[in-house]
Amino acid sequence: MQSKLVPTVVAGASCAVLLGYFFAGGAPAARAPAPGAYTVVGFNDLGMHCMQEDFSEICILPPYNTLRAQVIERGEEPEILTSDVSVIYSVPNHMRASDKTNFWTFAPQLFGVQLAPDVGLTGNRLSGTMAPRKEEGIWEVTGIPLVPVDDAGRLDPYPLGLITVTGSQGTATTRAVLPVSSEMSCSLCHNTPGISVAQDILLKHDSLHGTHLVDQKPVLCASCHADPALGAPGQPGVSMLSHAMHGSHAPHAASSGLDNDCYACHPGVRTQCQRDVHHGLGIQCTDCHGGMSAVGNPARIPWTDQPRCSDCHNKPGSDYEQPGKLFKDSIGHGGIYCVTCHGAPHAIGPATTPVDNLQAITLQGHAGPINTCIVCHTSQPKDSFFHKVKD
Amino acid sequence: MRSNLYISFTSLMSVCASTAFAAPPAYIVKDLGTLSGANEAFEPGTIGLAASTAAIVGSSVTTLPNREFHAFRVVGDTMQDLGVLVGDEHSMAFGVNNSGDAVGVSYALGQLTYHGVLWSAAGATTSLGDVEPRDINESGAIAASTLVVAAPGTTHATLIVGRVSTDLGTLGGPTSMGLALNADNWVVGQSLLADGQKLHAFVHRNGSMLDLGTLGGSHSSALDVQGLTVVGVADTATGIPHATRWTLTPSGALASVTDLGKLPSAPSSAALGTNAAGTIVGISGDSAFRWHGGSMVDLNAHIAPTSTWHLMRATAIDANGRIVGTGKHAGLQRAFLLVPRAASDLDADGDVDAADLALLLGGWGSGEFDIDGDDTVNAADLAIMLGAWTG
Repeated sequence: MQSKLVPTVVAGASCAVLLGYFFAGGAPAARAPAPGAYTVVGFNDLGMHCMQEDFSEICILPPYNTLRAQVIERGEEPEILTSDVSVIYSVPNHMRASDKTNFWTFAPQLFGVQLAPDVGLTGNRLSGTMAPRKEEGIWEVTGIPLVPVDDAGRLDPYPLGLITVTGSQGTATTRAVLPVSSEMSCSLCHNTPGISVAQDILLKHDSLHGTHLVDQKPVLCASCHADPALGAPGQPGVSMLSHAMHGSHAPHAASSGLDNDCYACHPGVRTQCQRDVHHGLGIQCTDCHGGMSAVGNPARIPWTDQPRCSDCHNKPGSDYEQPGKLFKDSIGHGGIYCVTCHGAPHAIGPATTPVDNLQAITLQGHAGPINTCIVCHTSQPKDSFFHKVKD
Repeated sequence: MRSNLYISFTSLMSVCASTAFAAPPAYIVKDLGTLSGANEAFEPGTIGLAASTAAIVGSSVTTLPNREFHAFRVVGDTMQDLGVLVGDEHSMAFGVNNSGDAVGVSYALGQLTYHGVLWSAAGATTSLGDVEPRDINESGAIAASTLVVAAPGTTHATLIVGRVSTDLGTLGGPTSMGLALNADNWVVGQSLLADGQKLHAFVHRNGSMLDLGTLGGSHSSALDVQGLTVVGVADTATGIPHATRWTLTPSGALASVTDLGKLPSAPSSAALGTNAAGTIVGISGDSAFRWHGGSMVDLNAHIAPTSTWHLMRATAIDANGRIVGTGKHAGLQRAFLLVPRAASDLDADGDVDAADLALLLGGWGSGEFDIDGDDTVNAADLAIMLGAWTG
C-alpha cells in the first residue's frame, strides 16, 4: 500500500530548501518542535540491510546493522557534540535475536569467531552505548545483530531504534528506522525439487566454476569474493561479490517475472526497500543505479561507485555530495550530514513508508527534509540558508 | 480361511525377518504445508507458532503478488487462510486456545501501527485496535502489547478481558510486551528496565509487575506460562542465553529459577513453550528441543532417522503433547507438527497397519517392539495393536 505524495511549497522559512512535500498518509498535524537543549537525529547507514535466517549451508550476509546519530546542542549557533553527553540505543521490541536465527551456531565456521549469542560481529548488542567518531561529528554503533522479526514473532523489516542522549543540559530522544530484511528470493530460480535453495546455489557454482563448495558447508561467499560490505578482502583472482552476483545473474534477470527485476534478489516485492521520495515519484532502481550489467561491470568499484545526487540535481548555487564522498558520508551546513536532514539512502524523505517519516515529523511537524531551522537553532537565523557544503 | 491366514502370517514373518528396525521414534512429523506460496530461500514459507488441542495457528506466505504473509488456522488436516483486515497487507496468528479462538495481528509493512485481531472459532473476525496480541486463554482473555501513541516503536504490556484493556506498565523502561497468560490472567512477558538497555522477564499478577530476574546476566524474557510455571530465556553470568523455568507460588511470589541448560555444542537455548504436564520446548542452536523432568533432548533424535526433516525451532506444545515449530523439510523451510507416536505405530508412519503388524510378529516372544511394557511381545500386544488398527 503506497501513500500519495502531495507536492507543496515550503514557504515562510528562510532556510527552506527547494521543494518540499507534505506526506499525506498518516502524518500527524504539524506542530512546533519540542524545545530542549539537545537535538538528536539518527539514521541507518545504508537504508537496508539484508540477512538470512538460516546459516547452516551458506552465508551471503550476516545480521549486521549500523546506526548513526548526530547530536546537536541547540543555540543561536548550534554545536555538534561528540563528547560531554552519553548516547544510548536500543531497538524496543526487537531485543532478542539468538532464538530467531541459527547465526550464532555457524558463526565460528563462517567467520572464525566465537561470538556470544545476541552479540554481533563487532561486539555490539541490540542495546548499548553509541561511540563518538569525533572527526566525523557523529555517534555510531556498528554490527547490531538485528533480525526482521519482532519479539512477539511479527515480521517487521522496519524496526525503530530508540536513541537517548543525556547531558548536563537534559535529555533528548529520537527514533530512527533500522531496516533489515531476509527477503532474498533466490528460490525464484534456484528451486530444484528435493534440495535446499542453498544446495542448489552451491551445486551450480561447483558445476560452473569447478569448485567443491557443496562439501564445504557452511560457505561464506565473501571468503573468496571480496565484499566491501563485510570488509572481506576475498581471494586473489576471484571477482568481487557484487561483480560476480550481478554479472552472472544479469542474463537471467528478465526471467524473474517481476516488475522490478532488482527485487528478485534484493528485498523485495514484499519489503520494498526502495521507499524514498524518488520511489514516490516513480523513479526506479535502475534509473539511478543502471541495469545489472552496469552494476556488474568489473570496472565499477562496488559500494564506492554509487549514484550521486548531482547526477540529476543541479540547481545553480547549490552543492550536493562532497567530492569523493557519497551522499551517505557527505556533510554540509557546518558539519551536518546530508542524511541527518534528508534521511538514509533509499529512505530519503518524504518516504512512502510512514515509519521512515516519523523522525522528521517528530522534530518539525512534517515529513520530508528537516528544513525547520529551530529544530537546531533556538531562534530563526537572520541569514538565508544555502544548500552548500560550506555554509 | 485358515489357509489364507496362515499364508498371510508366514508372509509377514518373512517380511519381519528381513526388517532391521531400531527403537521406534517418539514422534511422527507432519508438514503443515503452506497457503500455496513459494518457498523462500532464507526465511520460512510457513511459520507454526502456537498449538492447542483444537487447532494450530501461524502464518504462511501466499500467492498474492507481493508474497504477503497471511495468518492460518489448521483444524484437522485443513489449513484455513484467516485473511487480513481491510487496508492491510499481512497477518500473523500467534496464539490459540482449546476452543480454537485465535489471536494475532493484521498490518502493512512500514506503517506506524498494526491491528490486533481475534479470529473466533466460529469464523468471526474482530479488530482489537492498535495492539499486538500474543496469547489467548480459555476464558478469552488476551495478553498483548499496546502501542504507546506518544512514543512510536514502544509498547506497554496489556491484558484484554472482554472489551476492557488494562495497561500493565513496564519495569521502568520505555517498553514492555505481554507475551502469554495463564488461566488466572497472569501475564508474562518482557520489559526494558529504567536504564533503557537491560531487558527483563516479568509476571504481572495481583495488580503489579514482578521482575523475574536472570540467571546472573543482564537480560531475560518470559515467553510462555502454564499455571504457576513460566518459561523463557535468561542470560547466565557469562552472558549466554539459556532456556529458563521460573516457578511461582500461588500468591504470585517467585519460588524458583531453573537453568534448563542447552544442547551439547549449541551456543545457547531458549524455552518458547510449555504445557500443563511441565514439558518445555524451544530452540538450542540449530535444533528444536524438548525438556522434561530435568532432561533436554534434541527432537531431531526422536523422529524417524530416515526423515528428511531438520527441526530447528519448537515453538509450542499442547495438552496432548503435540509440538509445533519450524524446520527444513527436503530443503524447504516449513512449519512442522510433531505428533506423539501411538504405541502400536511401530514404524512411525502415522498409521497402525500391516507393516506394524509385521514388525510386531517379527519380535514375537522377544522384548523388541513390546507395546504394553512387559518386555515380551505376545498376544496382549497383538490385542492392543488390533484395537488401534487404522489400516
